[in-house]
Amino acid sequence: MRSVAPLTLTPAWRAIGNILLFVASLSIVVPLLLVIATSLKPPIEIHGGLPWPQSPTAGNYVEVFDKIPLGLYFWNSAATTALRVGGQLFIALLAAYAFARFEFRGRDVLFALTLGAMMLPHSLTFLPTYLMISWLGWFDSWWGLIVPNLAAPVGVFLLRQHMLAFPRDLLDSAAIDGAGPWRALWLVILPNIQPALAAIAILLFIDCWNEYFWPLVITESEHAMTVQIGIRRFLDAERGDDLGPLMAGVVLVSLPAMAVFLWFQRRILETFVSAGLKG
Amino acid sequence: MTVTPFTTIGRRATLGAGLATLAAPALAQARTEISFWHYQTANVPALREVLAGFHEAHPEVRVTDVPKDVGTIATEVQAAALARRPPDVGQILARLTVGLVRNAGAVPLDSGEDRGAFLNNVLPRFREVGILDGKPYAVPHSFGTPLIYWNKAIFAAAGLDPDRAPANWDEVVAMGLQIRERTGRFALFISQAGRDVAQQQMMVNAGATMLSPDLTRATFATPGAIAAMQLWQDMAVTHRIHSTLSEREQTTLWLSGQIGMFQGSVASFQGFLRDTAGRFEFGVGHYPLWKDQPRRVPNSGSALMIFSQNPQRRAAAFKLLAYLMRPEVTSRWSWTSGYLPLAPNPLADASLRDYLEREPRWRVPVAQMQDTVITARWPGNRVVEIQIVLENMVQALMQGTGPAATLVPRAEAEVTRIIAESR
Amino acid sequence: MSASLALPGAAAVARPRAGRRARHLLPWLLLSPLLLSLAAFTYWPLLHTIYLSVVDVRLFQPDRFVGLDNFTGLFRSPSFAAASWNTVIYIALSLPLKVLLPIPIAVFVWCAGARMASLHRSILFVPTLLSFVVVAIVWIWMLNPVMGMVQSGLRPLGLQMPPLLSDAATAIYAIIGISAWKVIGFNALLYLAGLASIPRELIESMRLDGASDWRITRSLLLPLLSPTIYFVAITSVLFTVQQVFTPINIMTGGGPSNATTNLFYLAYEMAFESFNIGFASATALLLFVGLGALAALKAWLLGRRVHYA
Repeated sequence: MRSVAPLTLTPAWRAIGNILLFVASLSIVVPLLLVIATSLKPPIEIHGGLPWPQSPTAGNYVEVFDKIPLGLYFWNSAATTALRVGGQLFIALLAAYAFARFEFRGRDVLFALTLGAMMLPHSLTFLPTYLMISWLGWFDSWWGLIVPNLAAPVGVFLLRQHMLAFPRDLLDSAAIDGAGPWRALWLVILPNIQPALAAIAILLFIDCWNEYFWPLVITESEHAMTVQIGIRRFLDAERGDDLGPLMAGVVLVSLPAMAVFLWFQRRILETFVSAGLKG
Repeated sequence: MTVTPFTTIGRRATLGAGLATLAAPALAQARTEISFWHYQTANVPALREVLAGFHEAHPEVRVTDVPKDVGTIATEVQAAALARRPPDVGQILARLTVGLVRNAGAVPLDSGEDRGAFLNNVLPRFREVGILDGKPYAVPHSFGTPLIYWNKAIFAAAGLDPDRAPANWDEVVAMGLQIRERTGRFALFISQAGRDVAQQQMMVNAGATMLSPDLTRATFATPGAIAAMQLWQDMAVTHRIHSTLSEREQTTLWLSGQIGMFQGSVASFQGFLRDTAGRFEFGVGHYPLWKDQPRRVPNSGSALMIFSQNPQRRAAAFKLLAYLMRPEVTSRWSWTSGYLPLAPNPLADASLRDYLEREPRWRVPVAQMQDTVITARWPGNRVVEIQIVLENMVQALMQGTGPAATLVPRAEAEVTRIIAESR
Repeated sequence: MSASLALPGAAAVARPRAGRRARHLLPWLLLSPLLLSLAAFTYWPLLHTIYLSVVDVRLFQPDRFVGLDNFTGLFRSPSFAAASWNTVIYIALSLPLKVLLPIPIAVFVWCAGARMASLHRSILFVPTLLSFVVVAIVWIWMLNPVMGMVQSGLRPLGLQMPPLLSDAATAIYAIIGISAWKVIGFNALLYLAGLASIPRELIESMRLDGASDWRITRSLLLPLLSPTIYFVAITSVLFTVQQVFTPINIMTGGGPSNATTNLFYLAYEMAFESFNIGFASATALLLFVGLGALAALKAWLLGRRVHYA
């Protein structure tokens, strides 16, 4: 961000801008603060008057684990997300390399098909995929959550962009040392696109952690349910005096994505800028 | 082979596969393992108690119960049947049983060793729910009957006798108006949890029959039913004693003591005891009469069906059903779960008698067993669409979109059309 | 945009025949997991959906071809008309909120001081981090007309909050608003990234020519942002209907009285609550064709105005 404003706004426009930003920020921040505040309220205060707790307590955060098997849901989400994102990155890395580094017949058609898959809405594919998963016996299991989603066209696209921009000298020097394309990928390219890989990993992580539709379709028992389905089930079972634990659950479910974001804040925006959404 | 990232990732995948198989069903042992899909998520401890008794009586069978969602369990059974992996026993909503006979390969219940003798442990009028073309395919399991609950504190505040239930629907309206005027609160909340249950109950109680005997036509748009639906609309739109908030919002309001009366199933009783403890005391009354007609209420709830194609597992499933239908089991299950007893003479069971001493309010549903008729069983493979038509009919009534005289016949025609087009 | 990284050095190194063939195979090997996954879980289901929409699937018998029966049956279903109309509303109202409104937000953040801009960027990104489930739960609680947070704020003023989610007239707008709330921040950040990459010299040279703010916006900012706007518009058309699935499923279930359902939600209901595979597939297909046509139309309309630097 530059220190001098690019547009010199008249005071009227500046006021409008401030109001707009203020309203937008408030609409985001206030509900979330209220959620956190409610999660810290003891049971007596839940339906009480003030938005913030008079005597804050962390009891709801303990109680939520009694009400629903939240630990198990976290385990399911964590494991399936880690495995899935790992698989997605691996497959996307290989594919992006193939598209960027090699020339072969049908390459552009296949790349177009990959991009096309990115644009296909779920509606068209969910039912046969569900039937297939059911037939394979993977219904209500980690497999059912992971395997159908291992292709990440977005990852392929972004990684390919980065690889295309790769300086040629590095690859040339590797070739002179006798490294074939396979080793070049691991020894030369991989270390240098780690920032992009990390940023994509974060986006894929958030996408997977927050996913609702597919786990809703595929999971049934608590052995496979993810946190999103779990917290939704809790909402349905909630009877009015569970509001505190529900809000605590909401906060807990959101923490991993928040933590990941805070850690890698800059990287995400950098990747978008340099991948060039202009193209 | 040198260790490269590839092999490390390969190992990770193997670990994942190993972990994932933990979620798969356990390996079969010498015992016969059968799966029992149910939606008793609220009653799992009570159900597991029953299953523990079964395991003691039949150590050669092991039942794995899988709690599922009441809204999608029928679909999942069908999908699983299509994938050749149906559950051995499934708890199916009574009104969906007919559809599943053909679409999920349900097994006739008189094809077991005892030739269906265990069915005699169920009240004859209840058994009707599973009979299609003269053969039994489903046996009642968790039957509900509609009741009226009321908040005694709100009744008292409105100047009504807190121990007296409304006897008929006209009284419900009168009492509701009094509650609204004297206390300003919402007077009534008719639960629509089952999509098409509440309206069926009201219409059948007003004299209608939902389907023709040959299950080809909907027949519920009788003058009585239309009048009953008009009453519902009036309660919401004209008298404003029935709020139009969502089911979830109204349940929360009822439980926090802000609604006068709640019309719902006996199945909610146990939950209410827990959730209203310390907040307010509630009364339990019979489903209100319609004018001066005798009470006639369809049951809600579910029946059990067998889907196993494997002979050994099927035999084990029959054992489970026979056990579950024992009078002492059904009577005890009823008061621990809140559902109706099923045996022809439930009071013969000591545990039930004791419970009635402790909880006299429960005499009401037991007495109402005699007024129960079988719920409509929707035929064909488009049952949920039929339910949605009825659900939308009530929502349109409550939104004031049109009078009952228009909306009810239109819904009847729509349901008939769907049945005609179903397969 | 195809660039190949030819390695002149490698050609000079003598390699055995097998090695050269292996190199021809290598790209295919590298692509195989992706292609396998796409074939099995994207393209084959696409074809299978088309197949399922024209057959009747039966349990112990082979599938029966029924031609367009599923489609005609679908058209006669009363939910279909409501779902189709609502789909149009969802898309039509979401576009200004999700595509246009983030533009001024991004511009104002871009013009703000460094610290404020950083704060705004973080705040704008937060809804993206939250899952839609969490968002739905938060807003259910906010909008509850009796015990919700907004009502608690209005009660002292003597006002009563309307039941937005259980009133057929307002429910769909509430859902559109909530889904926009979730997405606006992210789109604003996309635009912001585009703005941040504009070279300072361009703006300064325009200023030297005496250009006003408005002129800079019109001739420089908007054209440079146009590819991003284009991208956001197309993806909004394609994915809005899918995005609102979660709030609909959690908050209204498609009602009241079909007020919030749409073709995607209907396909889901037909598949998983009705198990009517034929109708569900027919709905999915119609939705896809409709969205595809809309996206193509948008692409054609906007494509002419997109500038590439």
